[in-house]
Amino acid sequence: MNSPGWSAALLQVIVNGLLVGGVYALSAAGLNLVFGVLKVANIAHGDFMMLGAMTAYAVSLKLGLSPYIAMLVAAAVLAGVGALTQRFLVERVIGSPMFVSLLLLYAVSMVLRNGALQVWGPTYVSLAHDSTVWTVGPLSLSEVRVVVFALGLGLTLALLWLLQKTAFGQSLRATAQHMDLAEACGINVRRVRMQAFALGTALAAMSGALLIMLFSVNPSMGEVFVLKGFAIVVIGGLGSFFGAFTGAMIIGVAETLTSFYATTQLADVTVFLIFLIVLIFRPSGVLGGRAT
Amino acid sequence: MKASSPFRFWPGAVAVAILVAVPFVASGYITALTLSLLMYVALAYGWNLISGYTGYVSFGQVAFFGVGGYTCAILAKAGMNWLVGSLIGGVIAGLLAVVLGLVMLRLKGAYFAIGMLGLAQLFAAVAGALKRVTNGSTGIFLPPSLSLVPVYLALLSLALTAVVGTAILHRSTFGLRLMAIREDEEAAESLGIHTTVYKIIAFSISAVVIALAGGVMTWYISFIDPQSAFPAALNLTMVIMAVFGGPGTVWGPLVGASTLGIIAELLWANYPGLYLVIYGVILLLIVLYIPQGVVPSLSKLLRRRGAAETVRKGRRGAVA
Repeated sequence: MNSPGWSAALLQVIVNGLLVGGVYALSAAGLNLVFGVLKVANIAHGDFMMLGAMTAYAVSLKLGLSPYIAMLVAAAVLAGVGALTQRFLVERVIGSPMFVSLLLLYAVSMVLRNGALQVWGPTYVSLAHDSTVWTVGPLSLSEVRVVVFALGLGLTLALLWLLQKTAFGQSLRATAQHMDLAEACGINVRRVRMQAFALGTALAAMSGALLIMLFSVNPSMGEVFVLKGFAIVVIGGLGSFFGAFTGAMIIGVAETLTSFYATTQLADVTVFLIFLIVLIFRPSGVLGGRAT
Repeated sequence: MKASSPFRFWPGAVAVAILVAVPFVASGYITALTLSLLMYVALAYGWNLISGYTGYVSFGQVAFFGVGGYTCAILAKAGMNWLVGSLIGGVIAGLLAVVLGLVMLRLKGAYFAIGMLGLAQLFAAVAGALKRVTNGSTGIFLPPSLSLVPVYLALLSLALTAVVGTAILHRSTFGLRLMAIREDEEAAESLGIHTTVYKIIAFSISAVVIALAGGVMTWYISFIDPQSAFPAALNLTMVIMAVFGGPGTVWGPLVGASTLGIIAELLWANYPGLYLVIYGVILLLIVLYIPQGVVPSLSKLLRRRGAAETVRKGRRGAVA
């Protein structure tokens, strides 16, 4: 292999990683939002992503809708699921020790994952379709990857706009900063928590729906994606949306590089190692506090 | 046993005598069922030790089940006695836990839980990749174990040791220090407790117990592959059993493992997939309605009916 060919291949892999990173950024934004407002680490986040992906798949296939419309349907459905999960389950453990909310969301995760396995079985599904490939210099960019990236990025930016510029966003941020003070200012924090969780699961659903336009997934995908989500969030520092965006790009690239130069299985190992290394050498971002 | 110990001698002795007699007098089905329950008891106590006592919730202790299982399988395949192989597996898991604990136990709260989740996946990936040692996804086949009795007795000893060990721990300085870490790690540290050392010891003992169960079960099943060595289902099982009975209590895991264990065996036979969903729902209900577990809730109820002053002693109270 000559030198220019080698560097072109490397560049291609990196670009592909960045493009996938757009989807990850969207998912991580949901995780960040839920932790920020509810102070709960949503370890079922990967399973909500999975439900979003499966819903989009079913809707697109059964009703013959475009994958992009199916994504919006999945977002709406999962926002409902999220609102109910928050209202009837998570809300009841707000303010309890971390121990309790962790176990609760672990239980939610197990119910969703194994329930989905019952309904859909362990088969992989995908909405990937052939698309035009654009050639830009030494790079070839498939249209669907670029569109998916743009959507991931656009939706993440839309969320930022929502949080920064609207009254709704202000109430979310106020609750995230200080729950009691927000309540004293007349914000209905219970409703805000429900909205935040619903928005978080809707973001997860959209990223899941975008993901199956690139890859195939099965009901067990949450197992891997929860770790990926947290790895991204800790790289950027918990609660930082711009940080999470950087984290998503880093994870996307690290993953595609490992898959390309080694194996796909090793890509998950890389993600895990990044997660550990960041937490150990930058423990200032650790969310834990008391573990009970 | 002295009167001050958590055991009443006669009921305990009778229970042990019955358990020892089971494989010799009961039917094969009952023996196999009891054997599974003994495994659940050992696993629930193993999980309880790190997560119940120190409050570090691990969703990946099953990693050590696989370490024990693989060690036993590889050594047994090479001609070693399975019991010796299992014991070596326990030692390896214990040492491994010390090294891993240095890293993992620096993570707090949710990060530890998620990190352990990842660690179990990492172990499964490594087991699949090390084809020369583990035979990859094909797995290792062992000669079928001809008699249930030795396996049963091995698990019975392990389960008994775990119960008695926890009872002793609960009243020891060591146990009190673990609980201090659970209640407030910083405060414990400022009182001069070397929290890292205590956490690592608890993590390591937990790993040994779970790995021993893994080794014996692998010999019993006569087969191991990455899926059977690191089953996510077993992870859920040990968590739910300890939490159902009462995490951080002496008798909680026993109550949880024996009641839910029977349900697991019945459901598993008839609805192999559905039982994990049902387990998830049970865990949800426990966390929402009796987060302290059955044993503390029951003893609280009993105490409330007794003298009012005992109630005032507090909700956690000595369970035994």
